[in-house]
Amino acid sequence: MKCKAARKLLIDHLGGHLDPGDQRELAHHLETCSACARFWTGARQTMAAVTPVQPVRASADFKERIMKEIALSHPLPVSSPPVSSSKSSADRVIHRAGLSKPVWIAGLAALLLLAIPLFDLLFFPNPESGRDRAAAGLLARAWAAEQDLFSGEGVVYLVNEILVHPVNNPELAGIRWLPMATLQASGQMQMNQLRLPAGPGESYRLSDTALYDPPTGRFMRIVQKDDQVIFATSYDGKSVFTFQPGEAGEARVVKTPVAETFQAPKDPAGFLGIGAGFQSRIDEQDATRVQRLEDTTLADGTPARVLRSTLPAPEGTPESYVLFRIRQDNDTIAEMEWMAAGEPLLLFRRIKTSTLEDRGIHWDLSEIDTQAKPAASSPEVVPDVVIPDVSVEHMAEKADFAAYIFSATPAWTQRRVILDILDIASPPHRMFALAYPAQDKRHVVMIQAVTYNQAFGGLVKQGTLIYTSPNGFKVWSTPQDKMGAMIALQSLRAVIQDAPSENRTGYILESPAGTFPALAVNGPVTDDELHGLIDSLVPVKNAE
Amino acid sequence: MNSLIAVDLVKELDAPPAVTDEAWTRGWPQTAREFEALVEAFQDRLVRFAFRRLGHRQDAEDAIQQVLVNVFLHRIKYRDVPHVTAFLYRMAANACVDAARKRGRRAEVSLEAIASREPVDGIPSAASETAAREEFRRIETWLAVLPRRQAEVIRCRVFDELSFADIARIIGRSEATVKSRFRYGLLKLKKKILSEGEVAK
Repeated sequence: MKCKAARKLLIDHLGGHLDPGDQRELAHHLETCSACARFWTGARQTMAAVTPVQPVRASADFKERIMKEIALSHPLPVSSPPVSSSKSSADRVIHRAGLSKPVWIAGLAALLLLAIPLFDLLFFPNPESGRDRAAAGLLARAWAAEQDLFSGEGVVYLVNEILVHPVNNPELAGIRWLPMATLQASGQMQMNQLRLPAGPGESYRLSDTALYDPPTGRFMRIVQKDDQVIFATSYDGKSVFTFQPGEAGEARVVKTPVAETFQAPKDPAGFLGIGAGFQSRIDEQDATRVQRLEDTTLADGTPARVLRSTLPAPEGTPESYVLFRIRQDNDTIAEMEWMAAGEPLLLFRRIKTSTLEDRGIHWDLSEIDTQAKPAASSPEVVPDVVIPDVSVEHMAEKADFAAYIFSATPAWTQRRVILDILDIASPPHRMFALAYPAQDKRHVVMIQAVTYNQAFGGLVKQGTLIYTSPNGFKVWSTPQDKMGAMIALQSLRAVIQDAPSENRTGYILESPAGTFPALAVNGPVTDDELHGLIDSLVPVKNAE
Repeated sequence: MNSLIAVDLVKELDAPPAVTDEAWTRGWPQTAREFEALVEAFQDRLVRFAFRRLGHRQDAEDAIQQVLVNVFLHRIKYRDVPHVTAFLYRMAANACVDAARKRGRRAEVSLEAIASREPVDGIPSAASETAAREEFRRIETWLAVLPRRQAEVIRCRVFDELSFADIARIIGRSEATVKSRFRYGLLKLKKKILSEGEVAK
């Protein structure tokens, strides 16, 4: 190798570029040519003279700042650490209870339904309704602390995660869902269903990011599984944005300028807070259902109180309750876990609470990533899990089974409200709830559903026939009457307001068409009153 | 020649080329997670790059933050642009030009004023920033003897640790041109530095 070629290669090497073949030749040349060796030393010294040694690095929080900034236009997915799978005991409990699976599933679905405080928003957008800040009790304080998060200065920035726990029972694993509310441009709340399907033993987590600007009511909520946006809604002060999954898996964002009737969310904590849509109100009417368990320590080392709020469940079905883990340092809810049969089904966990400056937040969802195609069994949003206050015509059109309605409003009640609800245990069938609020609190509720029609046939066999009407209706009394009435009345709290009374009455009806409506009255009824009610039942298709 | 020195030199040659940062071969990030990996891989390099052009860490970080956020917001647009590294540096260079221009309009901030600025949370102290700035100034004094283009290639190599291929893409010239600029620049610099060394002796 000539010296000229060798020196060229040596400089190339300083430039970070040298072929292995050249390297060998060069090494050989340097061993034999002292002039080039001196050149090499000099070149390296030169390089060293212009190479900085003072470290210049990005600040420690540089990446975090960037990720935060992009989170505002595209919230971050939460990484998915492995979740240990535990063996389900639900099967055993179901068998011990001797209940057929549809009833058990329907019961759970009903429990979820009755845990929807957002029903309040549908009817009575009053932030104080059902929430007594003065009420003693740790849970009340925790809810108050949650509400406080949504006041004050700056934009509230919360990230929660929703963990779908592994459950071995296939039906139970697949039945989980959450209500997801969207505020329409008219100001009407739309209630959607976020299905959280999972195979047996399968688990995953969703991130649930919320932003809220207290003075203007601007908000954003985005639910993601990894990078895939599953649900998104926002309000930028002028328009509402909704994320609508398309038929082919392609999603789009719809922007609608708000109408004059539009109002920002009245209960931002219920709309955007932890477990939004899953906050149980059971604790408020019956303090005996809330129990304090032994304190615990959260993953970050913070001491936490543990409260257990038991959900009412039909006798014989597995016990179901919500565990609240409440941070002792600031009384906020760190975790909410829905347990059934001693096993966790869903966990809501707060992973970030902070306040941002308003500057630069993209309330406009137009730039959100709509590319990702959802996998076949991924969570999805089904619109209109509840449509409040529909007409008789609507009910007649949508009911795909023989449905009935009272031809006249019961004498002691004042008005009628019909709700069109997704039959969660038998989708896509719709179920219909008739509610007749009464001034004397003896509200009347009747619920008709395909799930009930399939499940209650067995139940009435254990019951007593107490009346057969001239129009062919049978009234059955079963050991589950009180519990059934509790669930029916509780499900419609938003309409009837009052908590289920101790002396409530419940029956299962059997229609001439073989369907099984559930009837509940929030108080005692005389035989005459009951007979009057049943006699006035007419098929909804013939009504009016 | 002394065989010990020869062994040393050969050892030096055996060491891999001094590219300290891992090359980015993964294409444009399309998900938040991929983006985070990109930020991790490039944040120090790009901040250093901007720092030596702007002379102030906060300005450098602001400029690079904007570049990176744009990369993510417009990820669909960039998806088919080849050569992530080169393109990032080109965007960073543009951002620095913009930032310097804006600052020029705001009235130039003196180095002394920068040095006496209060350290901000999470940002290394003003003292280490001053030391880094002093060092850059010293190096720039050496580089000032070179033609502008040769100096720029050497900067890209020593400050930014870029490969010849990436430098070629950033400045829009062939790799051979880049190599030759580096070579002539370094030879000139060697002559200057070694002769000054002689004088110093």
